[in-house]
Amino acid sequence: MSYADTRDSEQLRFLETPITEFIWRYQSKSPNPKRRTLFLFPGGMGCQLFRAKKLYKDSGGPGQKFHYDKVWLTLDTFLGDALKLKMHKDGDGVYRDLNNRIIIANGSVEIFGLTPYDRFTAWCELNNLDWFIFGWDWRRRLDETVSFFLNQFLPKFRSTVQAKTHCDPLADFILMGHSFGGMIVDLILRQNNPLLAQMTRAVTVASPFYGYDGQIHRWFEGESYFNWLGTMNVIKVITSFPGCYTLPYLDMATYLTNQAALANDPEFPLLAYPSQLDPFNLVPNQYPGNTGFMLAELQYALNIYQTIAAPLTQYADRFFNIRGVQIGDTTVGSIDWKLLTGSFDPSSSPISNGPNVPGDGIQPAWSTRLVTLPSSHWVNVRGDIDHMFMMEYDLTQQAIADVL
Amino acid sequence: MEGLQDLGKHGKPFDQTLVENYVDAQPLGVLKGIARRVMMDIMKAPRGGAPFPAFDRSASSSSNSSKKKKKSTPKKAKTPAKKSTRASSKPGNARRSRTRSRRLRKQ
Repeated sequence: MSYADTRDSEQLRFLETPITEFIWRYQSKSPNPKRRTLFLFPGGMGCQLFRAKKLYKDSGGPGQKFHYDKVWLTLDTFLGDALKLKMHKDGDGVYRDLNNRIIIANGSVEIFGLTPYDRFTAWCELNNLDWFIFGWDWRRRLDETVSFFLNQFLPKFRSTVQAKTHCDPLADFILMGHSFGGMIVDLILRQNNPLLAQMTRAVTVASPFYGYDGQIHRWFEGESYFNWLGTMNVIKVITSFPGCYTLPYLDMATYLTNQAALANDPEFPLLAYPSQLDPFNLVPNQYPGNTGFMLAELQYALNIYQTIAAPLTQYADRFFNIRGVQIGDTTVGSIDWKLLTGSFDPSSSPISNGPNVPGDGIQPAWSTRLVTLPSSHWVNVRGDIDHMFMMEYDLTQQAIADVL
Repeated sequence: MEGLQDLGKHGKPFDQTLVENYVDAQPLGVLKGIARRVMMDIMKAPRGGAPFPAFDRSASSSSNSSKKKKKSTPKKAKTPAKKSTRASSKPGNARRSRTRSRRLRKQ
């Protein structure tokens, strides 16, 4: 088995436990025709990542299985494990993990027993929603996650649950994505898969359809919590994540296509392109050459990005976007991006923030809904909310209830 | 987090017992508060490439007076060191702390 196949096989093996837990929860409640299955895709950095204790061997034969350590997110992540998340491409163009030690996702992040979805899952329990948190590896290309979810996970999930409960858990199901996870949901809606016919709602919460400033900052500045490990080391790890190339501000072509609609948002318009430079349309000295930044990956991500931002040709009537709006202008809405002069110094970033605009503290409100959807499919959650814990608030849960 | 990272700033591998004691010196409620803060902050964009402690201080210096900044900085540095020493100085505490830390880390 190839590295990619082994990783998928291991991921599927790991998902057996949450599927079993789902079945226990499912069987613990009395039958009710109103029950629906809800798949939640946590946000970027919001899923736990586990790393194999031993390396994958290309000559190791089929069916290699491993034991794993949690690398994201634990105390040790802050003490050096963050650098173990680095990826690289093999000779066949497949992204592998550092030292060929497979990394897989496992549910949502949890530190000291706290997760960003505790209250949300409790709320689901009270509202006839049979929830399943689908952990995904936010470092990897989004289309790989989508393909795995639809072609490997869902059939296995359905057959396993049906065998135990004699009920079809996909008879009426909901896809929900928080933050980066919403982009996965959007991409799923673009696929032609017969299983989606029974999907009755797709909901994003605080998902950036047109990017945000944070990812651009990270390519130049690293990550505050980890930079003590060496800012350049951290930047090299971040630039090695292909999935994150879909997160910067929108490309100019997408902007021009949607310019009028973005500007005509009655509450949170985008009146000008949010950066001096288009992240996807390169000019000399835009990105440093010594951080491992992958120009080819940027091109690959652009195609994904434009797919996500395009008008939906199917399921648009079932797709809803919830956006968080804190009180006041609290969120970076644009950046000032200067070209590099001389050698790159991570301590003097060419990126500085523009004025704040309404948003959830991380994502500007002009980015967190698909502008080609009817405005009746955009729901604003206003108040004292926070991006990471957005699913936990009563206001958000009420908004979700309203669109389900 | 600052205190923990300070432990590793001398280029040596981390002493797991020290880390466990450090964590154990905090009540679970405080740890959950820290976890919440960390998860919220990690989503925020870095600013200026400065490492976390320096970033934190510069952020506070822009909004507070320099007098306030001087007062708060040494307090932050002292508190974790004190607690960690106290926890490890009592054998019973240390044993209890290791068990509890392991349990927390497994979670």
